[in-house]
Amino acid sequence: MNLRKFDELASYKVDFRNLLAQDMTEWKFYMEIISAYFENRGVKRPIVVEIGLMHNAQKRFYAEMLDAEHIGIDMNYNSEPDILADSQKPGTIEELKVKLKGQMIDLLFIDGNHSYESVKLDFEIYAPLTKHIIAIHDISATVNSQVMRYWNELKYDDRYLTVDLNHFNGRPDKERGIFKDMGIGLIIKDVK
Amino acid sequence: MNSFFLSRFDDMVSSMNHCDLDGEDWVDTNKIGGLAQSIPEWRAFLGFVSSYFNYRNIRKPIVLEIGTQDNYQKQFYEEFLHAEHIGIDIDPKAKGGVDILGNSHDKEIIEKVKDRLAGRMIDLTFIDGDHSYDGTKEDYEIYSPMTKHLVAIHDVANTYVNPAPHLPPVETHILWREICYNEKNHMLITFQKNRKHEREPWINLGIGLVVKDGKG
Repeated sequence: MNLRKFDELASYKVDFRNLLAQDMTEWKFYMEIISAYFENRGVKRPIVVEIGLMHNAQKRFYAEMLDAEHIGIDMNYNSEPDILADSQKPGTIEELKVKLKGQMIDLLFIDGNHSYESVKLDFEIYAPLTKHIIAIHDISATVNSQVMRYWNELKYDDRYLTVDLNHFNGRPDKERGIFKDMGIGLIIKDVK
Repeated sequence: MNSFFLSRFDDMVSSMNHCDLDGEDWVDTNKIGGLAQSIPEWRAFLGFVSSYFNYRNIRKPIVLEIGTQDNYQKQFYEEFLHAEHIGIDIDPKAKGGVDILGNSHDKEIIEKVKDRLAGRMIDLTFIDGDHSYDGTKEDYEIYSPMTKHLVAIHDVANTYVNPAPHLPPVETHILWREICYNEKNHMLITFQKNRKHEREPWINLGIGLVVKDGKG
């Protein structure tokens, strides 16, 4: 991975940086691990499916750092998704399969509804369509998120290799008196 | 590093005894030996570390390993990182040779490491010593300040408190939780592949990694 290129992208504009709903340190090392993984396996143009786009600022990193084909799913029109729909509706899955044209997803990034049931369902629907890596955002978030609970179940599933990426910055939300840690969890399917 | 990494890695692993004992009896001392790693964890760890140094143009990193056992890891560091490897082990009977023989906590041993470093910083420290909370913490507190980039701790997912009569309790998972709580400024990465084992499902390994220049 070209670190200088990442730093240029990350410092592009203050507005753009704020649109990227990521801890920048976690995001950088996530990109490094993904880049190394695909380089080591000769995956040249990975297919990335992202569920929950927020401002869709991640797309640019996937395109420029991984040369990826990016397919975004979101319920919000303002996120400019490729598929404007609820990720868990049967029609959405069919629409994605049409776009995939029989190919597997190389990298799935789940960042949709953060309830336990919803993140579990996203995983159960899309993990079988994914060949290499499933990433889940906010595995360490403790506010308005039940992702951590599901992540802890996945971590002790002996079918997978898991990688936890955490930058516990202790960043306070002064208004609410809480900490806003995020965390990215990776499930690596190939454990041979 | 390129796809050569995977084929070469697999070749090296298949040529040696290792402890990736899904479904087997980890506490059987006859099975302990060779490469004492979970293979998926070791592959992912090495893949990341190799790329980390490559992306930063660090061509010949210095790797300090505390607790080398049979010294099988050395081959991997030399093959994939082109590293200058310095091994410390307390056991004079350890197979494969060791660069510095003694207790990593002793002043004499710390001085020997410093002599070998000759003013340079360590790039990667891998702590795999006595596995007690106090012993591992002491290793971390002594050698982390001497390390510029990466500090790894082995067995951070191992919660087996009494592995065998001749071994001390494994408490590294306690220290790792504490490091995750305290090290607010560093990037923390945990590689974990659980084992299939009906009787002792808690005997996992796990590699915890502190990236000191987490800002990149």
